[in-house]
Parts: sequence; C-alpha cells; structure tokens
Amino acid sequence: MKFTIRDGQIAFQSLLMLSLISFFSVMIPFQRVIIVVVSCLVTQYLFDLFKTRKFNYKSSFITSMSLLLLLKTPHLGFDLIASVLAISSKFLIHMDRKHIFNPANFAIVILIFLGWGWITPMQWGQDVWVLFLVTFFGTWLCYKAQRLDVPLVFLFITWGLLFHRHVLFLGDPLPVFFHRLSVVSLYVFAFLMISDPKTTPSRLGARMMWVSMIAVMSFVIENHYFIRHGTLYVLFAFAFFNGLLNKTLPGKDFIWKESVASY
Amino acid sequence: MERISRLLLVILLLPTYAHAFCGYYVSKADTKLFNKASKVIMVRDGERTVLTMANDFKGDVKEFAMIVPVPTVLEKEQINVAENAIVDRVDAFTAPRLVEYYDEDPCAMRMYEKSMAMNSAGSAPQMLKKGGKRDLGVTVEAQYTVGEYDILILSAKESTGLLTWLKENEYKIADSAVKTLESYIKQGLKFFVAKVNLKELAKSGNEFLRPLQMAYESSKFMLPIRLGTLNADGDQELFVFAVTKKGRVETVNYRTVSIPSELELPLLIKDDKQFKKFYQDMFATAHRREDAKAVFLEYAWNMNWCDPCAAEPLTPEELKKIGVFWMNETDRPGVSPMNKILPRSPRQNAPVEAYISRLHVRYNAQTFPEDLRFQITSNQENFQGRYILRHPFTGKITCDAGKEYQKQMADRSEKEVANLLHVAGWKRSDLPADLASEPTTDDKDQKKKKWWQKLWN
Repeated sequence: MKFTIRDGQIAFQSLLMLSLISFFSVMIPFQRVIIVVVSCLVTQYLFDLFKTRKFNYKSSFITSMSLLLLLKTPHLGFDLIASVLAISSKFLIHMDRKHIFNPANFAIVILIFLGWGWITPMQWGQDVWVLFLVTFFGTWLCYKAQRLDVPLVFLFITWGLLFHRHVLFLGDPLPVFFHRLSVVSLYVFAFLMISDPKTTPSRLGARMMWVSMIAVMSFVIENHYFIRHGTLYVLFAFAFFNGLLNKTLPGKDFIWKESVASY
Repeated sequence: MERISRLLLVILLLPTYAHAFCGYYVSKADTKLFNKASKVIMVRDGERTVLTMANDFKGDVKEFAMIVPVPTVLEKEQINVAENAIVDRVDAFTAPRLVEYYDEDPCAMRMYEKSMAMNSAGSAPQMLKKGGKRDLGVTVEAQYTVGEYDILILSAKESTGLLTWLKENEYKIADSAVKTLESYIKQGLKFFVAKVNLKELAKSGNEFLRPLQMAYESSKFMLPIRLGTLNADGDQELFVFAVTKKGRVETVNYRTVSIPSELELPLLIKDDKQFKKFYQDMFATAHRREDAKAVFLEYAWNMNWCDPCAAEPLTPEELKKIGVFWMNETDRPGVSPMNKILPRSPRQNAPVEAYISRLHVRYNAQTFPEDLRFQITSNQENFQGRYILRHPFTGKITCDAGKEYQKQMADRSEKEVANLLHVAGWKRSDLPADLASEPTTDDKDQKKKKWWQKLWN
C-alpha cells in the first residue's frame, strides 16, 4: 500500500484535531466541520471540472482541516466564505502557472483582516508531549516532502532572535525565554503551513533566503510593532516574493506525485 | 526597540507586604472571597486604552505605594481617580451567579427564578511621592497631585539607579527586582509612581483609597505582572474586566479556558457561605487541573443586557466612568424598574457597542513567567459562570406523571451531588448527612438493571 505525504498530513492534522477536542476542550462543532469540508471539496470539484482536471480531493481536504484547526469565526457563514476563498485562491491567483498563496493562510489572513475571524495561538498550550508530537510528526512529513530545511531554518532563526531579545538584551530570566519558544502553535505553523512545498521557492538557496526573511520579519512585526500573529501576515505578503524568486532563481517544480513514500 | 514599549505595570510596594502588579494584598483574612486580589478594568479600542486599577488595600495608607511602568510620560489629564463603587458595579455585573428554580407541581407547570451573585470584593490603591537629588540616572519627568494621590512619572537610565532611588525614597522593593526593572527600562518604559497625599485624603473624607485610572495610546495590549511576583509569597489573584467594541478578549501567551459552568448543584449551595466556598474550591480545582497555567474566563457578554442579571447593566454614565470612550451617552435607553427581576433580552435599539470579558488569573513567578498579552477577537458568544439549584416540588402529587417525577428526583439529586464532588473536588464525607450517603443499594440495583428489565415492571 502506498502511503503518500498527503495521507501523512491528513493523519497529522486529524491527530491535532483530536488532541484539541479531547485534551484541550476546544469545541469544533460538527456543523462547522461539515460546512468547511464540504465547501472546500465542492469548490475544488467545480474548479477541477471547469479546468477538466482530475478531482484533487486530498489537497482541498488538507486545506479544510487547516482551516478547522486554526481559524475561528463567529458565524458559520464566515467559515463558508473562508473555505471558498482558500480553494479559489489556488485557481485564481497564479504566477507562472503556480499558485502562490498557501490556501489556508490566504483565507485566514483575509478573514482576520475583515474582522470575520480570529486565531487562538494558545489553544494547544505549551505541554512538552504535544511539542514532541508535533515536532516528531512534522519533521518526518517535511523530510519526506524534501522541505525539512524550511521549518528548521525558521525555528532556529526564531529561537535565536528570542534568545537575543529576552536573554541577551532584556536580561529576562530563562523561563521567560522558554515560555516564549514552547508555544505549540509556532511549531504547527512551521511544520504545517510555512513548509507547504507548493508555495515555497523551488531552489534551496532561494528557499533559505525566503524563509529567513519570513522569520526575521515576523519577529520584528510581533515584537516591535506588537501586531499579533505577524507570521501569518508575513507569509501572506511574501507569497509574491516567492513567485519572483522562482522566476529569478528557478529550480525544479515540486510535484506531489514524485514524493510518494513507500509505506 | 524602545519605541515599542508601551506597557503598564503596576506594582504596589508596601513596607511589610509584598505586592503584585495591580494588586496584592495584605493577608488579612477577612470575608473577602479571594485575598490579595487586584481588579483591573481595561477598556480598549484600536490603540486607545483606559485602565482602572483597584486593589483591596487595607493597611495604613501612609505605607501605600505603587509603581506602574507606563509607555509614555502621562500628562495630568491622562490620570484620574475613580470611585470604588464603579469597580464594584462591574464586578457585580460579571460575577458568577447562582440561579434557583422551583419545580412546579408536575401536574401543572411554571417557573420562578431568583439570582444571587458573588463578587470578588475589594477597594482601592494610593501612594506618595518624592524626588531624588543624587545622580542615579533617574529623572522626575512630571509630578502631579490627583485626588488623594501624589504621582511622579520617572524615567530611568539603568535599573540599579532606579532601585537605589526607590529605596532612598522609602519604597520597599526587593533587590531581585533589578533584573525586571532593567527589562522594563530597556523596553523604553517610564515609571508611574504614586503615594498617598494624607492632606488630600483627609480633605476628601474618603476612608478607602480609590482606584487610579489612566488613559493612553499604545500598540501594546498587555498587563505587566512580573514585578509583582518578585517578592510575593504564594499566588496573586487578578481580575481583568476587558471592555471592547468587538468581542471577547483572550490571552495570547497563556491558554484562556472557560470556568466550569451551567451545573446543577444540590440545594445546600444555596447558603451564601457554601456558595462562596463552592466557587473558591471549584476555581482552585479547575486551576489545578490546568496545571495552574491557564487564565479563566468567568463572563463574556454584551454589556447591554444579561440573563439572569447578577446586577443591572451599567448605565451610560457608569460606562463613561469606566472609560468607554466611544460611547454616545444620549443613545442608550434607561433601565425600567419593571424589568428589574426579568432577564434582559437584547435591546433592539441598544446602541452601546460594549462587550465585556471577565478574566480571572491566579499567578506566581513560576506559573506565569511572562507578562499577560491579550488580543481582541470577534467572538461575541455569550458565556457566564452560572450554577443552578432546583427545588423539587413538595406539594401533594396526584397524577401518574407525578409519580414518574418522584422517581426522577432520586437520580437528579445524585447527579447534583456528583457535579459538586467533581468540579469542587469535595469529598462525599464532607457533605451533610442527607447527601453524604452513597445511593442506596436499591437505587444501585435499579440503576444496574438493563433498560428492558425495567420495562415491564
């Protein structure tokens, strides 16, 4: 049996969702799950039909899971809008025939911007076992997708900047530093969203540059301008940059099929 | 880096007692529900913030002092002294509530409701001022007397100088505060220092210190709590009443968790003391279950109405007093006495966009190493700490439905006891005799029976 990276991603996301519901008493109402999953799949189906392509249900299912995991809205209608926006962005916003936005990131940023949604970065808390689980699973998945460099560079830079700010510059005690770097959402973001092979530059050098800039910009926005969830906005803003990098420093396009892992 | 720093930090320094950020307190065991409690009303929209800080300070006012790191040098007009009553109003409006229902004659049907609220209780802060002469790198940027307080705004170049200055000016502050002060100085903060002006206090005729208010603009949405944990022994208690236009406020660097609510409890909780004890124990149990690391949401509601009401919604004048700067006072309809006991329903024309979240934080230096950082969300889902008592019908039962009702009573009361034991962590043996017994063997046998075994007898 073939177990692809996408199956792995779905398993990982399901695990995260189960942990939220069972250990962190986060409510994900059933109607919400139905609305988000169905509207993502239907949007994908319609676009695929229009473009006479094979129905890519896995990709849209992963997007719907990301939305369910991260985005919170005050009304089911906004969930519907988010789902349609996310999937449509893949088909409507391109550069050189590649979509440039991570679909879930695109929808989340638009909704937050419009005041129709929010995210709760502390929903998984800071427990060591969750951190371990996310890091372990995330490392394996990114390794298989040949994108392990992205989360690692992102995390090292973020840790470095936090260490510099809190320990070296402000002289805060170490627990403050550890408290800041043990937020599970940071790792979920690093392994699940930013390392999406389709929306990271293809060439290694370009990728390093791109992810380093994202890490630094996010840090500046969050710690110097006090804008919450800066990383989401930076990733959004850097989508265009990703396209430009691919143009100037072209590499081999990522194709999900090639990365099938035998299981 | 510094432009950033906009934060407020309040610390109370008393000679013999340790204090926390906005509060702390003296361990006089009075009837107060939570000791060492500070209350902060935080009204925010965009970058504008109005903070009202109240502490249940009960010591000698001469010994009261408070340090609040602030983002900029505040002008006199940015500082105000509020009344304790307004903080108590907000506290009462958002307090966890006990509701009673009387079962009707099961052969008829109707309901009464009564509510009882529980407040966290408290009073106010105050301070004194002094100026330093020696060059310690401390500059007195401004100096005001507002109400019964003498207020100084200090800026400092380095923490040792500031610490020395504070000590020379009779602020008892632990040496271990140096690092935290340094961190705040590097974040570019000024220090708002207040002591009580005894003459002004005497003139005002107030017995208690009143809450200090300050209005400022800052991109930082946080409350500094670190200084307060330094020389504190044990946990500090902080209630944050966050008022926004949009919706709930939650912490972004600590988990925000709703307090257990909507529980049916045995009637013994009706006693005011028992309810208070229950609430304290329930809070402690929930806090422990979250490894002491979570912030608890106790209330989240639109300020125009309530259901049931622990206290009347705030009037436009009261909202203005707590700093709801965006409100247009002429718009809001008054509360008619007729509606007093009835649950409020959303008013069609109620134009005050004010949504309140009551957050309860129990913290110490280990469990809360960082200052509290917040975010406003568009979540307007209502939540309240609500506990329910149901009085069984005691009259004569005359119909078949009534017999069924009597059977259900045993199950219901066992469920109520189970709720109590679970959420408050009480032991069955601590309960009064009539509740302390396990369900009788008969009841148990009855419960163990399969549904079909009960079907035909």
